[in-house]
Amino acid sequence: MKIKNVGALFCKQAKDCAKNPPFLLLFFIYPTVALVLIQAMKGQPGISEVFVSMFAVMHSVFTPIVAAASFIAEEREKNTLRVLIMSNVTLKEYLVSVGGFILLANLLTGSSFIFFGNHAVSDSLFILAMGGCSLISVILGSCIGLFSKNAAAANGLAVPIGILFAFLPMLANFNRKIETVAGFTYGQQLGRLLAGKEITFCGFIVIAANLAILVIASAFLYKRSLSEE
Amino acid sequence: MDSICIKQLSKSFGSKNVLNNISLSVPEGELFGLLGPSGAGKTTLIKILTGQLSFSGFAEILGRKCSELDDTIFSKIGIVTDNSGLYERLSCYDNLLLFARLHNVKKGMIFDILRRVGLENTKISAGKLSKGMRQRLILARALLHHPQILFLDEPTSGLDPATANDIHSLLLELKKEGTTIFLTTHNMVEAHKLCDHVALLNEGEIVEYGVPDELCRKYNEENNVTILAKDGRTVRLPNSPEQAEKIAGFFMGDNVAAIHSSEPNLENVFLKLTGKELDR
Repeated sequence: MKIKNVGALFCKQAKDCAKNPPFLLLFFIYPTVALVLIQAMKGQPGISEVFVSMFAVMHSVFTPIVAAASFIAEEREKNTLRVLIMSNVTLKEYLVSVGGFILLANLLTGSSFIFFGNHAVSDSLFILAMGGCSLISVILGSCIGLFSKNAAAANGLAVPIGILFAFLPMLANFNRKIETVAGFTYGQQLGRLLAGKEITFCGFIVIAANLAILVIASAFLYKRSLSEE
Repeated sequence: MDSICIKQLSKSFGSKNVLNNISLSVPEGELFGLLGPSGAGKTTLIKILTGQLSFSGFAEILGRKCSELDDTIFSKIGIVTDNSGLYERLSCYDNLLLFARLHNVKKGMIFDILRRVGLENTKISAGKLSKGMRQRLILARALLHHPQILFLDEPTSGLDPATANDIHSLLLELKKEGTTIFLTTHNMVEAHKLCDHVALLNEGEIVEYGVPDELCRKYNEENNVTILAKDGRTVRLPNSPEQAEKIAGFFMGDNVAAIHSSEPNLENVFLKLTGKELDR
């Protein structure tokens, strides 16, 4: 893997993202909504902890899924990925640069949650947990991007999948059955961690299983895309 | 030395034969034209030569088999196709900056190349460019790293005559500089004007190959002279010494409004060989 290629693509992603307001908004929507709600309900005990952990999970799950899927599918649809590959860029370098950019952007905007109010875990664990969750979401988003033929199809898949994974932990607070189902997703395990609850051994297994399934799926889709491009 | 060498190349998609037993070679520094109607297999051949499609037979560019192209070859070729994507939100400069970094080209070259293709406004985003300007930008991107071979898939298709003419001039300049150019087109005038050799491709087979002028002469069977007389008559006479007196008679009688010899062209050659007209 050539670092020079990854760096060039990373810079391109940053410029492209900066000139794409709807895409840029994606990285700010959850921190903004959380800030507004926390300010609106200021004075109520424990409210900032609930909102910070809830929106931090949504931000770490939803945003990278939609961003990665949309970025990759657009690149495939517009044929720019093929042009890159014919300019000595490997698919691996491309995916690392896209994933790296989204991960960094998501962590930078997500770290604002730390300043919004109290949270149950230390700052470093908060960032680490968000980073791990964002990484899994980037892999899931990449799978959707590699699977889809165009950006519209990718968004059509990424948004409901993102909502499913991001909102299950929130809905789990209100319904036991949903909590049981949500327990099998990495988002719910992250939510537990950010809410100050301990992750059980089963929780680790769930995260590892989620990661393993997505890595296998992405490897399969990577090979398929490689032959297509 | 041949930059491109193809021997008995075939390609099929399912049961449909797209290219059938094609053989041709393009020497270094030549501007070669592959002519044929839409669906003849021109783009498929470019895709094969640039390593994007598998095939049966033999094909190599710059001495490397097309099934085994790698970084070293990709850095020596430039490709312009109608579906070469651009980053719509990025400026012309930023579009080229990415590829300059990938190809280790100095940033200063970007302005030079943009000026060369006639794109002075480097800050305009690619999404706001007209079709002609987009094509110039794609061409600039393909030329940025000084490729030894340039593949052009219908580069002037749908462009206004002035832009097409500018691109023609640029291609002739590049040829002078020693770049091998593989051009596909269905524009016979363009091919005649630019190409050293042409191959006529029809339904996946090369039906004729040669120098444009020679092909035209070879298939110019009509060879007539048409005289539009001042008295309103149109007279068509064979262009032969036997008819010289008759033709001279029109001149001596001051009865010639216009006179035309039948000019052979590649369009007629193609029509003669395939019974088909090319798309316009």
